[in-house]
Amino acid sequence: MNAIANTIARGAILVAGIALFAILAVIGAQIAARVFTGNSLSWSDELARLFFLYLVFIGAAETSVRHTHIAVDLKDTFRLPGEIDRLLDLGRMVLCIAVLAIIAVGAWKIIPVVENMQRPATRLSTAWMYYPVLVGSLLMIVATAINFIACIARTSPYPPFADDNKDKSDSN
Amino acid sequence: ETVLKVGLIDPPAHIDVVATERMAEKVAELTGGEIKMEVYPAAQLGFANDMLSGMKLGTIEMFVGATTWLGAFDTDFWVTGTLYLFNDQDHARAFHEGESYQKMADRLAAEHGIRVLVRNWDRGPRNFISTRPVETIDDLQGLKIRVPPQESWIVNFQLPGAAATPMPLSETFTGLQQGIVEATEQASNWLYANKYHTIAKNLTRTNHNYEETGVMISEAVYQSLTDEQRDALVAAAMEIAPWHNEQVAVQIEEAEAKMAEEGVTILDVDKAAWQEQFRAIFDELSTKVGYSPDLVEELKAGWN
Amino acid sequence: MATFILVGGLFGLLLLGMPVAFSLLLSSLALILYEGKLPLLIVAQRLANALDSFPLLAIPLFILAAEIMNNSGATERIFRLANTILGRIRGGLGHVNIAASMLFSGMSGSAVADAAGLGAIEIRAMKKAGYDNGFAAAVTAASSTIGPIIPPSVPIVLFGVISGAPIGDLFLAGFVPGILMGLAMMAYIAVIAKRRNFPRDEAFAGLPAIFSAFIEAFPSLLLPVIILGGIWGGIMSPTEAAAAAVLYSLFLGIVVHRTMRIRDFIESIRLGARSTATIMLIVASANIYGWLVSTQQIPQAVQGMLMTVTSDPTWLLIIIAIVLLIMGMFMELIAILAIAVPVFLPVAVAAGVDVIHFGIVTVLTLMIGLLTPPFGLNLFIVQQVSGAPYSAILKETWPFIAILILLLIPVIVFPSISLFLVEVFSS
Ligand code: NA
Ligand code: NA
Repeated sequence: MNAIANTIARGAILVAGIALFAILAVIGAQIAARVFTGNSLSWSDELARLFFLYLVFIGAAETSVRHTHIAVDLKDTFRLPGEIDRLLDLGRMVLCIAVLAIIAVGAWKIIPVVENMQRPATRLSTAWMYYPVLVGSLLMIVATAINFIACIARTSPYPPFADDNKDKSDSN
Repeated sequence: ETVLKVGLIDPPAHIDVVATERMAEKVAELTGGEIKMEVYPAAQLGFANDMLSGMKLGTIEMFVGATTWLGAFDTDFWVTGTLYLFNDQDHARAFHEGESYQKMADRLAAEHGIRVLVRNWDRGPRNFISTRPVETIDDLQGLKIRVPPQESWIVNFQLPGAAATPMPLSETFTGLQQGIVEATEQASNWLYANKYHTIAKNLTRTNHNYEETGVMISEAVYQSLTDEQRDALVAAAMEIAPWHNEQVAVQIEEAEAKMAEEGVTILDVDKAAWQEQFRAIFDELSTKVGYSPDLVEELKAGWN
Repeated sequence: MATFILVGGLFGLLLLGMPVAFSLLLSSLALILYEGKLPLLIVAQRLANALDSFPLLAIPLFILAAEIMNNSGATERIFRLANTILGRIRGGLGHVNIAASMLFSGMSGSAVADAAGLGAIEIRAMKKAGYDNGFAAAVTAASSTIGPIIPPSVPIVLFGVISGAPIGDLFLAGFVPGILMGLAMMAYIAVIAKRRNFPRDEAFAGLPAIFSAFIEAFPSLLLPVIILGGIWGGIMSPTEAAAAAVLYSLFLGIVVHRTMRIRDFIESIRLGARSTATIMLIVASANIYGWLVSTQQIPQAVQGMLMTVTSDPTWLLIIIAIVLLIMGMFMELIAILAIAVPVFLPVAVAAGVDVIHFGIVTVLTLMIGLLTPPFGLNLFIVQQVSGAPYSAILKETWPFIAILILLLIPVIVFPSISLFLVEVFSS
């Protein structure tokens, strides 16, 4: 189980990182084209926006593995006993899975409908916008389910950010 | 009672929204209240592409907007946005109402499940508004002009030498204000309503293209209606069309007069010269974008 | 009932500790189910479309630029520059902490990047000099809120996207309020430095030392010029300027300071991707929620309610600021921005408040929320960085909260504090 969680976390952040790098490269190319050739690229804006969807929806799977989505921390905020928070956490995870399942089914239904709609600049199929939504929500379902089982079994959860020493995944 | 949710991306005051509301009243009257069209303006039900796919997903039943959006399904629908493709407004409307467009529409209904009921609501001729005067074809050279982020538009402006800058409509005002682009183009009434004349003081009446608004419905929904109900929809939309188009013409005239009053320089172009320039590249554009050869030949045959 | 599902549902779920993104999605789904007018799959459609926006792309890029700055040696150089100039004053490192944040603000759009990156250096130096740990953490938490007011700024980009106001103008409008924030905090430190007998550097560093520290930090200080010059010179959109900021900070780290290796770059990308995914999932979810809020005519209802109290733009802004302050005690700022702006902005604009002014007031108010318990994100970060107990940090943070609230009043009452520079530059 930890191996699955580990694979999801690493794979997700790898894809998200590549997407972020690709956004940088594409927009960098856009600036270069305009400054040096005077002509704009037709596809850069649309392609960068597409990478953004992969960055966010696939990247969020890592957050789900590590169970670090931004939330009010009941233990810190209201001094709620850990045991009650643990029970609440089980309920929260079930609700998250339900929400994610609805999103996954939605994306699954949308994909065939938009398969033959082209994006205006790149002419890529609009379905490319919904693959990350589908894959991301499925990964988040698996990750949340693993955390759910770990919580019931009281085994130690996946380390929030064991592989680096910066702890907050948030930025303003 | 059948409820048809109709989506538009335009704001409530826009002529297409007003016309759609009138159409809804007429449809209710013609069907004795059997069909109720609920109008949702201002992209409340999503943007154009969401509404196009939404008609198949069942999130929406109808969409009223420019027919060029249909290029997402079939590139040929983009062709009517081409610069100087039509001689004038009547030519453009006649083509949209004509036989070959009907074929495109039938193909769309069969293959993509969207039916274009009516497509003769004018959007008005599009003109340039710019921070530096644009009058001759030479002024177009290197002109940083905003174009919709769509291949056909970009090629259309790049071929004659303009620096076509693709930009979402939402960013265009700021882009023009801050000098990222020097010019943009839309119908005069649209430019005035969106206050572009306050930041760019040159309106060039290029009258470079004429798009039409289409009234579209999900094919599955259409098939579920009775013949009388279908006829009522078409009859209502057709009845609104002359009024709609008259309003657009009046709005354009008023907008240009008000812009002139508010200090905008209004320029007219040597239309023959511009037409020649853009028509000369139409073949190359068509190959690059990939329009059907038959369609291209038919359109060229209509040129005066 | 619909309003109750949306508003009550959201706050109920948040208070049960449900993640913000999922609280937004679940209350939206509940409303769609209750109304039965729309199919549930519209949520997946909206989620994808919410992020299909070019201006939003500025956010991951500004986050990445800050990560790279923290990894490229720029942060240390800025700290050293501030220290050689201000170290000699009593309470010098307190002033340095604030001045360094003001300088760093021009490079970073993120309060968290400031508190976690620059903050680590500042807290270490202050502890070593004998400052109270809780105080060091509090100054760091407070001063890092300047980052998103002085441009560039992640929350301001988001406000620009939600409101449609030009991001370039919003950036300009933040300058003066941001500098005032720094000066107000420094004034407070000057007052208590004597009373608490804060330490200071033994000797004045001397002009040559200041000069060489300035030369060292100079390339980093150029970054805001590139960003704002690019936007205002009509060369780049804010998103492109954000990409240019990343490329420039990479250039600093790899070529100029030579402190950055490929591994550091990959680490920055990873941290940037992680922050972006977490935040933008909330933004996308809030987009759906905000859309449902508007279809339920909630802004109109709020407008009606507020208008019965007052129609004066200043009082209206004050009431909105109070509501935002309270929300900031319990919620994450990006989520508040995404939920509250669509509700309050139309009300404020109808009463005659300038959009740009509204944006600065909103972001400044939400910055205070980073410091207010129980949910003050910056407090958690400096707690981790400093190791000081939460209560000790909180005790020292209260005066800063008070200062910022006091500063908020003139920023609300005199719109020209924000708008002055915009007017100068647009004419
Ligand atoms: Na600081
Ligand atoms: Na900043």
